[in-house]
Amino acid sequence: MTAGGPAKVSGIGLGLRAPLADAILTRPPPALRWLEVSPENYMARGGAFVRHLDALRERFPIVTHGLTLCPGAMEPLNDTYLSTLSKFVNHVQSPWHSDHLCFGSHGGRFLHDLLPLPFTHAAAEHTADRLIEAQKRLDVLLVIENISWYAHPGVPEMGEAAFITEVLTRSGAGLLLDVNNVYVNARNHGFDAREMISALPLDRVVQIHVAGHLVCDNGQRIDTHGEAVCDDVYELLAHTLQRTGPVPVLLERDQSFPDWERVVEEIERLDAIWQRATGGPR
Amino acid sequence: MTLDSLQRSLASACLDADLSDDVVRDLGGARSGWTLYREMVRRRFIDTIGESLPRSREALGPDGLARAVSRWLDRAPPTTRYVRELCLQFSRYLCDDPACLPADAPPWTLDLVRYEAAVMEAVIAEDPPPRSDLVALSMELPVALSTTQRFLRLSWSVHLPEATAERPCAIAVYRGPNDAVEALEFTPVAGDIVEALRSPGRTLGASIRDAIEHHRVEVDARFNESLAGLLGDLIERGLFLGGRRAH
Repeated sequence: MTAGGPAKVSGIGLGLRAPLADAILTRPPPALRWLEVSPENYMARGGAFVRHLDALRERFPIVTHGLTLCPGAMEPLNDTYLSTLSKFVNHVQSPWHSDHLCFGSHGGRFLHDLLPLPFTHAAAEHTADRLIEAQKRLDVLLVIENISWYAHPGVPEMGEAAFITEVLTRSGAGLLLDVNNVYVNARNHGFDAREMISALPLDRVVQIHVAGHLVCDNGQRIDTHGEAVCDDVYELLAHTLQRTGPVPVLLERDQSFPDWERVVEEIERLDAIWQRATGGPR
Repeated sequence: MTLDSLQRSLASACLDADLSDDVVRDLGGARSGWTLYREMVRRRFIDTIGESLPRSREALGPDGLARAVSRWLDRAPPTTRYVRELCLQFSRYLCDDPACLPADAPPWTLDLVRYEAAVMEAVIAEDPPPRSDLVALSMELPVALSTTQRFLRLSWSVHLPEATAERPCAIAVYRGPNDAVEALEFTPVAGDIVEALRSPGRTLGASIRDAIEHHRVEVDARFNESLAGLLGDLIERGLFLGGRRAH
């Protein structure tokens, strides 16, 4: 995996988190084909964490998924961050690099969360301009992910799908389609998840995310990555894959880690859906 | 509202001491939506700090930790993009504003926060880069210190969880060759020597001479033997990388 350019990323992947690393190395299921890592967890640091990643790179293709590009933020892009990020992405030979369609910093303050952008033309233009600038500093395709949002700042000028589409069209970026986020937003804001999927430019989808979410007592759904994937999201994934074709699918599990066997069951169920929906080769 | 204004308001909704009516009005929509963002952001910070500083979390108590983090967010919010560095910024804030510690927290709490932050720094520090200027230790040269060590002076021996007592301690927290992080306590003389070596250009010989004079140490065979043992130990543990040749 470490020579000859990026390895092919296909089928089902898993987000690499420290509590899962040992099991991934020692008991990987055949259906697990690739790993996703957050560069911010590895950049500008040393020690066991970094050496663990080197060991995993020998076994799996790696795709990078960032947390702090903050494409919609107001500050100028950080040169040091982008330079370090670019080196990391090249080092692990990621075939593309993704981050979230949001902002997470303002006035030099980092909030460490995915905060919503207003669905306006001005926000789409601003975000696309920053994505274009960031794309110039990276050697791989830049891809953006739709987020879960719980309130809309300001007055929207369009719907979420139109906003995402405008950003993609203006920037040339690819789309990381998080079907759990679509589902969570659809349930929280009362729209049809399949209609939202249909309204997106599916030919731009480079990767798909799947995760579990929390259902609060009041019925609100929160994108936690700390629960099992629900049946509705599995069904939405199948629906989406039938329209996108064999796009790689990533399972995110970031907290409340269950036994490895449960994670493997989710990977195998995702793989079965992926095979059925795409007829893709193993 | 401009995009910048909306983002400023949402950042304020999450970080300021209170969620004001003005901010809710600027953002629009129901207050509950912004309250949810505020709670999610603040809970993430509290949990992250608590996981990074587990003994400090215990000393502060859940409410004490939450209050201290809230004050930090309100007065000196995080400026790092790296989650792993949040506890370092929080620790520095507490040192500047110890009044935000709960009144009933143990007296060693601030030292404990500093110690656990130093451990985190050692865990995440970048490996020492390859250097072309390293030679054997020499009295005439500065010492190249490992990037993975942090020197601390403490008023309480918080590095000894089972025997925390009020006494001045000089320690190094360091990540060894096997990536394990350990604490090494120095004698007063050794602590002064190691601390002095952190000053740029300070030679090993000058650091030793100053410590000898300050502590009025008699330089005899026993002292020389123990100094040689100290230097050998620090090389073996990886705290000293070698002498740093002048360019």
